[in-house]
Amino acid sequence: MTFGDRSVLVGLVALAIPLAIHLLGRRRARRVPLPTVRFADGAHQATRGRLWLKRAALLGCRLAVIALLVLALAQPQTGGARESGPGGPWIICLDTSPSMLASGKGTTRYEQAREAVLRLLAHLDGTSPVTLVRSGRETVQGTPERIRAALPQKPTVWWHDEPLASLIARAAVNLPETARQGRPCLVLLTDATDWALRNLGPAQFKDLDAEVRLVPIGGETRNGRLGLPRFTVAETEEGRRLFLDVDVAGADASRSTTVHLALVGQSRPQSVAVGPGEARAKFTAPLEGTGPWQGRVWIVIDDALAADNERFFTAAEPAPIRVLIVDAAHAENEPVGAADLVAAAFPGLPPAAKKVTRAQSDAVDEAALGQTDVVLWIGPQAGPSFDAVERFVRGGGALIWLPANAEEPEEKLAELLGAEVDGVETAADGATINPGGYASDLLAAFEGGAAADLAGPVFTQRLVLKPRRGSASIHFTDGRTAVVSQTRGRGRTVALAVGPGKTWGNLAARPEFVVLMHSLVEALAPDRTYRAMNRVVGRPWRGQEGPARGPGNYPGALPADSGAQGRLGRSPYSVNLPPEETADLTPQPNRLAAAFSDQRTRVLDPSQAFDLKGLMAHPATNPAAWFVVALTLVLAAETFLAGRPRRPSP
Amino acid sequence: MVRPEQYLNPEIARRVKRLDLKAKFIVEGFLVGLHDSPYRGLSLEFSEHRKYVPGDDPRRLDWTAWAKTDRLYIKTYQAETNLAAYLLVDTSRSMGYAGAAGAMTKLEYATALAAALGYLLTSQNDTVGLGLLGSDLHKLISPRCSRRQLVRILAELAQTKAAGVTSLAPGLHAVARRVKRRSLIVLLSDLVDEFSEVLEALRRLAFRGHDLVVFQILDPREQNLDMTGPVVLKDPETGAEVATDADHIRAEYAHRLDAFVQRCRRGVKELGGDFAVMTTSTPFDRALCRFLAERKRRF
Repeated sequence: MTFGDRSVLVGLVALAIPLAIHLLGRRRARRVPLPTVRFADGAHQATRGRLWLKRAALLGCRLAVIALLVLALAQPQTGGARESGPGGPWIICLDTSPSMLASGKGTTRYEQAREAVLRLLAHLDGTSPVTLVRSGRETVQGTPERIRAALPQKPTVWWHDEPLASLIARAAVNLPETARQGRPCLVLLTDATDWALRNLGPAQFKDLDAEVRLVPIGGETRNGRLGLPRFTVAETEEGRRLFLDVDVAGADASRSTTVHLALVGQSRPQSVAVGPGEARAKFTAPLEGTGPWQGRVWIVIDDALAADNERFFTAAEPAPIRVLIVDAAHAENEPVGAADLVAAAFPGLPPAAKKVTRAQSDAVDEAALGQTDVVLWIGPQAGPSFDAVERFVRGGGALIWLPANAEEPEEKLAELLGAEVDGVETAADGATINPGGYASDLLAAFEGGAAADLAGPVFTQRLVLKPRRGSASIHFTDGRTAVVSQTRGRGRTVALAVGPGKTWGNLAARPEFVVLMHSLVEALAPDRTYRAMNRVVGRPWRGQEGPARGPGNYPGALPADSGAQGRLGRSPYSVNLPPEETADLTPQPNRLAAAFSDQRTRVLDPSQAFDLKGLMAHPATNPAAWFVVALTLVLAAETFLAGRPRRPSP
Repeated sequence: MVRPEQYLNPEIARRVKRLDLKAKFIVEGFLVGLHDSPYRGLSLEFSEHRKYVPGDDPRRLDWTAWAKTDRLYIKTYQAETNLAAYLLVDTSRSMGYAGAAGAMTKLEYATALAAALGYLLTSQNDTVGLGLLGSDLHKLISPRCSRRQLVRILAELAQTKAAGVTSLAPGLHAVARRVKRRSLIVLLSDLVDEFSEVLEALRRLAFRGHDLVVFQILDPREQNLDMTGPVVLKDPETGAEVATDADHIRAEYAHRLDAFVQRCRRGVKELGGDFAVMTTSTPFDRALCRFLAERKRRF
């Protein structure tokens, strides 16, 4: 049991009052003459034992009344069977994300939080086990003195945050060990920004056997904003360089506004001062290595971080995609088959493209498919085992099927593709792809999204494709289906109604053919390209400063409107993180409070964030009712024992 | 104006300082309360004639007077008994106890009652004597029936002060030795003594043919232990002290005291005597009624 106000415990001195009354009361007894004292003496001897017990019980009751009163005023807090308190284990989760550098009235949020932690440590016993968990830093365990030493005056802020959910997950790792020393208390000091609260909710605390204290660190922040950075990575004479510009709002003559750029692995950030009236900051920086390159841009006004201040970005080379082109339609001696045209689209990137001839196609087994990301299956005839391809797709592979000649695919292949082929039709006037009909995610990365790019090819022959389990992703201008795609297990299949050969049209002769092939291949291999970089790293990040072991710490896949930018060919591929994943420094204590409805969890008022009583309090069980009941029982016992003077009627 | 019967209340009687007047008022008040006293005219000595009124006993008509005067007269007789009564008053220190400030002490009550009894007996031509008991028989006045005897008794009672320890048995044995004639022995005491010895002495008196009337006089406070909280109870005779809680022992105390009283009652009854517990707030007529009932039973 701990007490909110231990100073009130001085009131226990009042216990001396009933003691004094009890002891002095005997001296105070009146001397009364009584001739029949021998009967009184006999009665006294007979009831002496009971009288002693009664007096002792009465004294106990009176002591208990005072003690309970004092204890109630001292605001006792209990934590269940196991207690925590100044001597119990403490786990301090300190948010040291960049937003903690924001300052309001002279001090940064980090300094405020640090002060709170130091005050807490000062009240702990010297041997109290304390665990300190900070954003992007290794966990520190030890005595309060050691933890104090581990708290620098100014934090080494890692450029990418570690959300609170990750901090708590790391703290949970230490719980079983600390729980042996008593019920732990988890103190979370954060500025409760939008980013910090990401994916944070009761689920994080459901399995935590600990008291939880949330201390939102607030304060005013400068009202400056950054727009989405626009950047490219280009080869120059000086080497590979990053060119970045970003819109700035909120710069005026009365305040100094600076935009900073930091790249992972580069020791010193660049700074650009933004003058009054200027609305853009431009940077260029050399890039080293092969990427991905991660960085952030942030805005500082009057030496303090501004609200909505940060933008993160990632630039990366496209990952190599292993492509297997299966020629199932043409004999070895044929001059140029459809598969040759497709293979010609992959002479450079990705370098792992491989073509197997018709004679070899039967030999494509699961081992070969296991080393492949995307299979381009040309022609309906022969080919690998349907079952093997089925397992390949369900396991995350991608299958692109193109017709080689006018023959229809057999039923098993049609089933695999999720489409039904109802003959071949000719289009004497030529058919074109509907520009508005290919807003498919298959072509989302198609450079520029230029509708006219695919509107160029003219087709004189096409398969009549009817979606069965799949869906029509791209259409011709007359409404016929051009592409059917479906999700199958963790992979996808795509079936085209036209092939690259001359009998189908002029597709292979146009430059869009290469673009189309690459777009399809990259879109169908999401798990191995840039999208993988933006998945949540489940385990807390524990590495040294610098590039993380994982490619990134940002949750979720990129949404369609993320502002992603890309360039095909040999240019590096760049991705800008979506706006909602950039920092908003506005503290949201209410949202923080709403995220936790657990009784063990207590969100402290930001204005009282440094009230140590709040930090130390453990209101897991409300003692008020207990004290009322106890007090009532004691008073009832006191009344019963003391009794009312009985005066027998004469 | 105080009416005579109000003197039966000890509170009122206490205001009268002179014991003789106090006794007179008590008895007069008692007689007024009795109205037509059944005890009057029990002797055979002629007193006077009075006119016959319906309801009078025809056997008491004076036929001679009727023959002479042709009127009906009833003969009345002056009371005449050979009753000898001893009023034995306990004068030990315990009798000087008064529970409430200004209340009548047990001795004052006993003397007032004894005086009233003496007055009543004298007025009915009974012989009355007085014995003062303490640790022994301090004083014994032989019974006589005269105004002078009454004055002497009242004077003795008025001078009595509570002193000494209670030891009734030797005094009662002394009375038994010295009183030869069969008498009515009236004992007024709180009986705070070793009752087995007292009972032995009373048995000796009863054996000698004396009739016993015992008034145990207690103070209401000692009867009810009318006090609260922690107290140190002190015996006025021995100085022994008991520190206790009055509220806590009250029930047990009452039980023990009641057992003692019942023992006394049983003991006296077994000797053929009469026993009554009187508190210093009990009206005197109750004691007088008991006394007269006992007297009637005997004569």
